[in-house]
Amino acid sequence: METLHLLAQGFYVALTPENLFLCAVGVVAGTLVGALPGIGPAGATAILLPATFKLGPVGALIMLAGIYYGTQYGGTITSVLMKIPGESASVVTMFDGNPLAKQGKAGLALGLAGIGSFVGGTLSIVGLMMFGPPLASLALMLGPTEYFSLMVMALSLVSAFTGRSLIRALISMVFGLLLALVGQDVMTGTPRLTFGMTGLLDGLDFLPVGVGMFGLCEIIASFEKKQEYEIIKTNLGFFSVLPSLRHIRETFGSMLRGSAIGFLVGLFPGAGPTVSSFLAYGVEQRISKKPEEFGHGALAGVAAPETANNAATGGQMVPMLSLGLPSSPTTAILLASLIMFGLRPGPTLFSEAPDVVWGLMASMYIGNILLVVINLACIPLIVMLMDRVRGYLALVILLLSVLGVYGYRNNVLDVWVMLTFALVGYAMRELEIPETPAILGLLLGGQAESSLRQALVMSDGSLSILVSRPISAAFLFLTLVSLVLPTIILRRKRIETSDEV
Amino acid sequence: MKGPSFFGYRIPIKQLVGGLFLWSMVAIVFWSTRKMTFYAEGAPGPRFMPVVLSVCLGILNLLYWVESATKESVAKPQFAERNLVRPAGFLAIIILLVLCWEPLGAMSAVSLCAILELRFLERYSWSRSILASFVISGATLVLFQFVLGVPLPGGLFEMLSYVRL
Repeated sequence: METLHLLAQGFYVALTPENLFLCAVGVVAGTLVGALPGIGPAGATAILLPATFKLGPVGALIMLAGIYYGTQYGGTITSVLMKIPGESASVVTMFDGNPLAKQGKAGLALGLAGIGSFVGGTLSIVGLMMFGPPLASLALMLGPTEYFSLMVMALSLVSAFTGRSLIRALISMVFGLLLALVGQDVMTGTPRLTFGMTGLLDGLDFLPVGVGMFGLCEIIASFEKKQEYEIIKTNLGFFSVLPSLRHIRETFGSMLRGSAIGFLVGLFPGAGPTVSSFLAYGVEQRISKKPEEFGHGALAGVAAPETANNAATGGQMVPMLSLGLPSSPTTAILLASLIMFGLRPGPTLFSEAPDVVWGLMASMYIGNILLVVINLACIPLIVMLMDRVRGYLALVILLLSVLGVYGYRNNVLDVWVMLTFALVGYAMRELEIPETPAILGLLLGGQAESSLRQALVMSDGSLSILVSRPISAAFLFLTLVSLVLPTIILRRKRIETSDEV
Repeated sequence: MKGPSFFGYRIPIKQLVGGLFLWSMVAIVFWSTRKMTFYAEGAPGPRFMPVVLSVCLGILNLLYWVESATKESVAKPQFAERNLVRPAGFLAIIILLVLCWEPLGAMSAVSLCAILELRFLERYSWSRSILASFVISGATLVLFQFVLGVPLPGGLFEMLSYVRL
């Protein structure tokens, strides 16, 4: 009952004309950016983050969240029409979406994807409402020891699920944690790793690093691969995009299953929309009565992954809002946005800023409705824009990045930091070291260090406190499992493969 | 590109250079925090975390080299075969933009870099590049200076920085 009361308050906040407008702008901007290959959700939210400073915490979050799930749908358009995934979570949609487009059913594919996104997004918000507040209440019982172990577990889970190599992901994580040490030591005020530069005394801010590594770096890398692609010309009028009741009935089961899979997978750090979309596709293929249709235009092959990837966004919001733990680069940017407004996501956010949290949840409901209405009605316009603005995209993103980062503190040093980390991100790609653990390390490193030092003060310097407290020990055990299990599974597979040979 | 051989295993040059860079980071962290306290009166000092993380990074770096030498990396074309002119050109434009930012002013710097990017990287005609750059820089100025209220350096157009809507 209290949840409904709080949700009603949230709608009261979200349904103001200003916030509705921001939600719509976010959804449209996210769809447009997501539709253009080269920038994913993380890059889009990073680049547009500086533009939200003047909006206040509620407005900024509403717009950024709109951008987040707008990009999920936007990536679908390029997957279906051009066989180029706009972002990683849309890769699976390409398997059946593009064949459908070639059969002249692009509108049906996009329409089902839109409806599936709506179903997945809406159901995941219900899950967020159910899980978020109780988890936040439980988190109030955690002390510095448990918090440190929880952050280690979150970082290791992200590392385990990211990239091809656990070692490289861990290197990235440690690198990010080292970056978090730059600046004045919180407890003693001693400058660390500043090399005499007063501009670094406040530490490395997330914004220039995030925009550099995710926004600018992707654009620099995209200049190397000049993609020539063709958009499938097909009827995309409103009525051809709207799926029939028969099609919706046929795929509704897939949408429900995709919602459950997406939300549950999204709860785990590191395993977000991409993993959930692959998993949902695999499940549908396995249980289908006609598995041979998959890969050749199966409707469930579009509906399930699209539902799952939007449902995962809601799942990812649960640890971010309740525990202050981002589980992906995009939720890291949302968390950074809250920090910039002086709010600290975590257990106290629900009590200290309920209008922010419930306003965000209510706006996600509204955003999902706007997503399906705007996108289904405007697909032809979006496709036309994609064709026209391709050549200007890099320049616009560059200007948004530079001006946005400069506008944050009116400091050219931030722009140089952004440029430096764009190059660092490029170098990491060359070395096949994933960037996501580094960015999460940067965000969580400061808090992890202060939690650990507080815990050691409590135990008079003994590390045994980390294993003597049961919750902390459980988190560390799960950390070990997440680090060791993938290696064991991989070795078993290799042994089985060599036995078969 | 293949690197030197150690006991029959080769670490690719890229991974070797990357590893050396990481080792240099470890060394810098150790050296720059040498005068700080590691542990005092039962509490970790400011040197505690840098040293712990540096040790972890050093160990991981060794494992990284072992992995690079024993596992095959994703095959990528050599640098000579890759088209790095365009990314380098884009990078040069960004650097030029930042260098001209305060001396020329935001609008002038943006216009100049937009013309260069559209003409030489996107291969549009001069007229289209110039026209588009004026439109884009004008829109940028309106959005950031007047709508979002970010005070941009005026440079050559100092008087515009005093105008507020």
